[in-house]
Amino acid sequence: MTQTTGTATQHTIETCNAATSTVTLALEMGLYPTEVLYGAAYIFIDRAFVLLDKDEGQGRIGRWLVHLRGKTPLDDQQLRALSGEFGNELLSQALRRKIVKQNQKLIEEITTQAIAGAAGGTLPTDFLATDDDGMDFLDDPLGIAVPWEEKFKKKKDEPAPEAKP
Amino acid sequence: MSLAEVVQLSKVKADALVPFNHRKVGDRYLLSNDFGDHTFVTPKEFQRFIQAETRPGEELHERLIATNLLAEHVDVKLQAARWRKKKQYLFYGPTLHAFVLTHRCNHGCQYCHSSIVGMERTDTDMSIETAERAVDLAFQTTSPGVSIEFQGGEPLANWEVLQHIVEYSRQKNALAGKALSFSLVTNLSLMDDDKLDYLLDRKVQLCTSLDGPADLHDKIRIYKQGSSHELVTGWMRKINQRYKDMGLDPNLYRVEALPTITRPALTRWRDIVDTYVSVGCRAVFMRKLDPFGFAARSAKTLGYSMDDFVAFYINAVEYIIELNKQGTQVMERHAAIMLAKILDDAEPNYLDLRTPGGACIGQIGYAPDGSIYSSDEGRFVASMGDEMFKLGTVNDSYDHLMTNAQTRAMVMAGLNDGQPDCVSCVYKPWCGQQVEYNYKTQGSLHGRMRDSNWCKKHKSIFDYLMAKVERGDPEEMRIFERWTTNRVLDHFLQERAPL
Repeated sequence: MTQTTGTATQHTIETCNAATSTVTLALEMGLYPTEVLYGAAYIFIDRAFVLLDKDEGQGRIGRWLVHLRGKTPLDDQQLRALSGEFGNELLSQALRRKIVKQNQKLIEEITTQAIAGAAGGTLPTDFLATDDDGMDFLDDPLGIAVPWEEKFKKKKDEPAPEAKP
Repeated sequence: MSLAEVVQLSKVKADALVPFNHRKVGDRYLLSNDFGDHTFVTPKEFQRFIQAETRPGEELHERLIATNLLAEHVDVKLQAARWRKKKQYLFYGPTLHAFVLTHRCNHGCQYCHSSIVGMERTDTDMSIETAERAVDLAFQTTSPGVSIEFQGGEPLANWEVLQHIVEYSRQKNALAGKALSFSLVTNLSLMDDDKLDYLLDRKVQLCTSLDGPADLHDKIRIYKQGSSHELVTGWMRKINQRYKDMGLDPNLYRVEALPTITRPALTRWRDIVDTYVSVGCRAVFMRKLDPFGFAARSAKTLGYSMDDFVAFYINAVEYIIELNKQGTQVMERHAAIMLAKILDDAEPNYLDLRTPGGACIGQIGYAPDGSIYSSDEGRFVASMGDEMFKLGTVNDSYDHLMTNAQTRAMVMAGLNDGQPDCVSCVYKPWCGQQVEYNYKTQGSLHGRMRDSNWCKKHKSIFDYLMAKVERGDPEEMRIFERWTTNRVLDHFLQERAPL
């Protein structure tokens, strides 16, 4: 049996017990959003029984405790690898969350186009003409695509030259 | 010069640059943008580029303009049109329709990813009624093309239904006018002259499995009634001869085959390539053992690390290039697909290397019982008892299959733009992911590319090919040019005119 304990700061193995195939991770609260913790925990439910717990002592930063118990017997090395993978999954989920937020518009537009295209919603009429590079759809004769600020900025700024010293 | 010396963030003129990714290749840096342009720059050039110091008339400046890396010189309309053309697959539904005609098979391949049963289990055959419903669904695709692929088990075991699907599809196409084609993935053990006559007459493309020389092939692809290798190579030669007799260009029309690479094959790249050349193949697709089905269960005896596979792959491609230099025309298909994207600005719509991936909107799989899956791989996961990728059945509407929550989730997860690593990868414009692989190996549709073997494999192959492109050996570049020349196999398209 191997058992280790540690004082958690940000993300550490709290205990690791090969006899019970259990490893407990401690995470500083606030380090990851709760959704990220849930998302990462969910990924492991086919390999381990997962229990999330809180450790909120007075006068110190609270911690999330993640208990993982292998569904099959796991030795010390495997348990440490499992906890390492959990850490990687946390980071990956957190980063993906940020990236998806950053690229949300692009992702939504591509997905919408892909689904609509597959379902037949927006099939272009010139679709079969594969060599047609016509770009009429980018023309904007009514100025609809011109941002409001840009469209009205000039009028607003017109008196400005006179006001200059 | 290290990257830290090259990139001084305070001096970067971000507004002057088109968003790009970079990676060290050889002594230079590879730069790419989302349009799919690329160039190589020295550390000094890299520095001048990011500081926007290049001036008109300089070779570097003109090269950066030509590769759309300088913002003020990008013709937005032109690039939008180019993007739209390459992303045509976003404008239509699945083209590839994989019909699993039966789970019966007379081979016992150690790595089989399907859930096969004995030949007596006719209850696992697809029925005529299910087949017709599946064809009806396939023809509802918004794609201008319908490619029906017969799979199994061994699909020839359900010959009557195979024929029925061909005839029924041809009748439907008289009205639909799609670019219709058929292909058959078979171990060839149930082939006979009558069947071959029919398949050739109906222009059904033939694909088989050949793992290399007899000792390797027969060790893995177990066939109780004799040597699978002898049978497969015999039929391949015969079919290739029939193509020739039909007046088809023997350089283009051949039985397609691919090897699945197992542990015993890792040292046999020469033997595998030589076997392919000896039976008249012009292309080899080095397929890695996948994590599905028997392949997952036999990983302990047949599996290997991704490093092992990449080493094998590079040895194999080096050998193939060597053969080309000696006058033998043969290609590795995975490399050819990647090179076509990089060098020819092509989009071959290879489902594993596109974003979003091919699940649901690029292909769907039809099981014998009428279940519909996101792809081949989706049904492989199902054969392991997990129906995660089941979209519905042949009784559902096409609209439902294409717009349900599962499909949307798979499309979104299969986008490189939402994936850590992919968004900052220099190979992003040419790469893609497979949600089924992510799910099976890492537990979620998204996976984690940084420690995914999927990413490792593709990145390693891109690295290898890009190093060659960077060196630019004229003879090798001529060979790559030949590999990337698109040759349309018109013969396999069904006539569009009413029958």
